Amino acid sequence: MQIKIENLHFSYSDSPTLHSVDLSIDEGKNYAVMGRNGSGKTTLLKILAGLYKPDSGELKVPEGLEIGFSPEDPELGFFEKTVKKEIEFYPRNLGLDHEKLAAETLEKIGISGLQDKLPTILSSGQQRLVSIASVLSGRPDILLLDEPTHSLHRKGEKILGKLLEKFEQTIVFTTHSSDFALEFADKVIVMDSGTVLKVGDVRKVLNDDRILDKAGIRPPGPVAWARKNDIDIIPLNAEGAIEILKGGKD
Amino acid sequence: MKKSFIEKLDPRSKLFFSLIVVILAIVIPEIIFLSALILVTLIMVIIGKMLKKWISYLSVFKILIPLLFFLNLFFYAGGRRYWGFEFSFLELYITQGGLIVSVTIILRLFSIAGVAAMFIISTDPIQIETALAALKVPWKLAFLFSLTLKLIPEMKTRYKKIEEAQLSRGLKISGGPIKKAKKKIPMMIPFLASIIKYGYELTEALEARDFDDIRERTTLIHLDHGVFDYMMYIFSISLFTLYVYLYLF
Repeated sequence: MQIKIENLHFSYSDSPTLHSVDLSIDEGKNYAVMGRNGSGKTTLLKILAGLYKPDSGELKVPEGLEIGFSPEDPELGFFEKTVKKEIEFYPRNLGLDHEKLAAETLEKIGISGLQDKLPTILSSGQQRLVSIASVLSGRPDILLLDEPTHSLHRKGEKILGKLLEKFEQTIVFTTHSSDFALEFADKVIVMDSGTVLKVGDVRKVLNDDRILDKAGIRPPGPVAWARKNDIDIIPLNAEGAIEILKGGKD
Repeated sequence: MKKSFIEKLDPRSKLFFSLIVVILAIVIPEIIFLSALILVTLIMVIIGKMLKKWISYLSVFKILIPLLFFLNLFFYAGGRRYWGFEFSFLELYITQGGLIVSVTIILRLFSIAGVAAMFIISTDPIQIETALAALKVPWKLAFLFSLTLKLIPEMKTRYKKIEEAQLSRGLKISGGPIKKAKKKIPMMIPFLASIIKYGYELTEALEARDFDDIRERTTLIHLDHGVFDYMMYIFSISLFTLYVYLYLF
């Protein structure tokens, strides 16, 4: 267990934004935070990032744990003249070997070709990758991504998901895409009206109509497909479905 | 969310009251009168259940107020001397006149800013726009005014998002004022870029909706005076008359 939240309460003004939140984040797992707009997903991420302090309750974070946060609108944070310099920003602030770490991160994310470009003129998909790279370069133990699939098409989502699978860090991301969550998360945290409705295995939770209805989440495509074809095993994606049909295992 | 009594008032009656307070604060430089004006505004703010927001709006003066106070305290001399400081050619004294002028200026600033904050917090910008248009202010000017008011929270939100993005990438704002200002460069550059971009987007959105159309405009917002609005007018006029009477006689 890396982070533990106990009975956390937080409000921006008079009405509570988060209340009675209990949560544990385990090391090395990918978590998808899902729920309606205004259910408290982004606020939860910002509290985990240490940007907001809870009004009450406990947030237990081990000392020295580095947490990186990539915001929903990546271009809002860009200020350097080149992508490379933008990626060097975080490790430079931490006093690390920023040139080496930036070069490694560019390579890992596969955006070395963009290193001399101005970050603000890139496409939204490229900006998203630069934003993730600019957080990853600080080698955080936990990576928090706010709506990483926002403004990405399905193919872009796949590329991003495959990239996230390569990271050894614990990843917590918010998303409205249940297909993306099913394929690339291990666990899902379902939020409803400022509190955690359910935390559990992604296949179990995203196949539970009662929870999906309450939190306003659309059932993922593979779940709908498995139900229609009366198949017990939920595939993670189309390839998994083909495997099942062939008689193999997903 | 349920609207408070002050929020429900017609923007024109609130504007009338605010103008009366501003005129009185400018014309009558008396500590007791200015304090009473602040007290009246404060009571309205409490009735309107917006004390927290009102204080946060006025907190922008937290640097200006001590600065104004001390500058006037030392550089305005008159009447009895309380305390003095002499060094070479420099002579600084706290005098009775300096103290009165400093307190008066602070109270005047508070009474004007306080009533303006109350008006802005309790009135939707679109209602202000409609009220100004109803008062025969040219529509474009009224629109510009409401747009400026809407821009303040928008700029605040954008700056906060940028600040969060940089703080979460290890930026620590510490040290002396020059060091702190330098550290804020990663915030200021994207902030200015974002505001310029917002301006362009806004222009495009307005042009796409025929902003320059010369036909007379209609509005969906309906303004109407109620009993409490007439009471507000009577209260404002009474306040003005009382102040002028007490000040002159």
